[in-house]
Amino acid sequence: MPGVPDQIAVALSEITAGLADGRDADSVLTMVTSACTRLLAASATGVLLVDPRGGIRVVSASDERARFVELMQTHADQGPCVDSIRDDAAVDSVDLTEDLDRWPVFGPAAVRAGYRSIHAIPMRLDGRAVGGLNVLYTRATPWAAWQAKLGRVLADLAVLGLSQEGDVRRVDRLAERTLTALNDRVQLAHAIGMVAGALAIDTDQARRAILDHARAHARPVRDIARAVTDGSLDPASVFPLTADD
Amino acid sequence: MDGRRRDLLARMVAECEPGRADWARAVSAVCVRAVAGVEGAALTLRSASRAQETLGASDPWASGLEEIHYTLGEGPAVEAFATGGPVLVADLRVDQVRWPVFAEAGTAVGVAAVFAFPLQVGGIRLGTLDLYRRRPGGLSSDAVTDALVLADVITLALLQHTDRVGEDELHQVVSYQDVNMATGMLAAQLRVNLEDAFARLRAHAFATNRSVVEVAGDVLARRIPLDRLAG
Repeated sequence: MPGVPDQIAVALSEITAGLADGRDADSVLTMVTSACTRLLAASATGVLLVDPRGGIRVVSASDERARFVELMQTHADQGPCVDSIRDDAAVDSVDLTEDLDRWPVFGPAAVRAGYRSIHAIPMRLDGRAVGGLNVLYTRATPWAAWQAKLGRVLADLAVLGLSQEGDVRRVDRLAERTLTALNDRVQLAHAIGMVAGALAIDTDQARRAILDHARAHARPVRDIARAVTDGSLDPASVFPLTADD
Repeated sequence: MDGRRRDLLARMVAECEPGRADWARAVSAVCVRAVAGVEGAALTLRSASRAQETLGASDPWASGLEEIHYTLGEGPAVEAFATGGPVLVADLRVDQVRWPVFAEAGTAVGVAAVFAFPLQVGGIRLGTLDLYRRRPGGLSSDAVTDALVLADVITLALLQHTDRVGEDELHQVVSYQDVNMATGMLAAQLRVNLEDAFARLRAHAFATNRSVVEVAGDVLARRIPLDRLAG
């Protein structure tokens, strides 16, 4: 297929240049999805990420139609992308109409949206699947080995794009952390004082009581401190483990 | 300001070894050297609940002025933090209507002018860089620019520094945790909320002409009968 290696080289160098320039995650992902569509002749491409709060989230899609399908997938909590992330392995369905039993909700929804084929590649970070690159076709499309490899490369670039944050966002995050750390320290000290006052013990004992309480209930110390200071936990009930059980 | 001046200030701050226990003191000393007309400087983290932690100060005088801010809960630094903009007071006696109590307490320890700059990143405010001088007089516009750049550079250095060495090491230097614990203790004993408890601590400090840190020490050691603080 003449010209394809050139196109690949150009597209990949655009993406890596974007990464080197410190472009934000969104623009890198947009480059990745459009490269997928162009180089793999896909009808649509979507990037999905595991949401730490649960579920899977669409972070980038080459068009709204793809977004629709990906959203269906998120809602259905099943589908090739979910499988590929769970198993940390590529999942292909060359003909979705033959795989309707495999994903009873996703399959028919995708077919209704006009898609016939899907290739889902896990995106890995630190040896863990953190999301998936999904390449969709409107007709049955098996992948040659070079296409699978290129898909893998693009999935890796998508991860790089995502794990790269501009300085501004990084600084914001650090600032939030510093602020949170200050507030946490103040809150813990308040809680220690409240426990000491409520139980007529000294502050060292009160600090130990809070740490023991946190450990005994397998909760973070900051949660206990917050509960004491916001009134949801009676400071008189925070007591060393020995007195608790 | 030309880029070279900015680079120079950034370099001066960068030369303060991150991770050193007295990093913030060294940075404060840099501010005194770099900003013309300033004799004392302090870096203080502040929170919306009016808690504060002085990371470091160029000398005990500047650190004492931070404590006055804390005890009184007012002053140019408190205002700079609240509003998010610099507060420049060339002559405390002239501006004393704004902070009558701070002006009196500050004048008593020999400060005549105060320049407070917020340490902030975007919408997140962390504290203030406070500059002090003994004689009245404003900063030149170059000096104000220097101070603004320093506040900026210091904020970034502070964040990177926190990232690298962990918060505990950074904040051991000067902290008012005793005040926070005493506030909690009073709240539990008097059955009032934390804000009221802190206000009473401050009121008592003010009435007895002591710092809120000293009063907190007495509360923790149970040297002050509660009824004296019951307000």
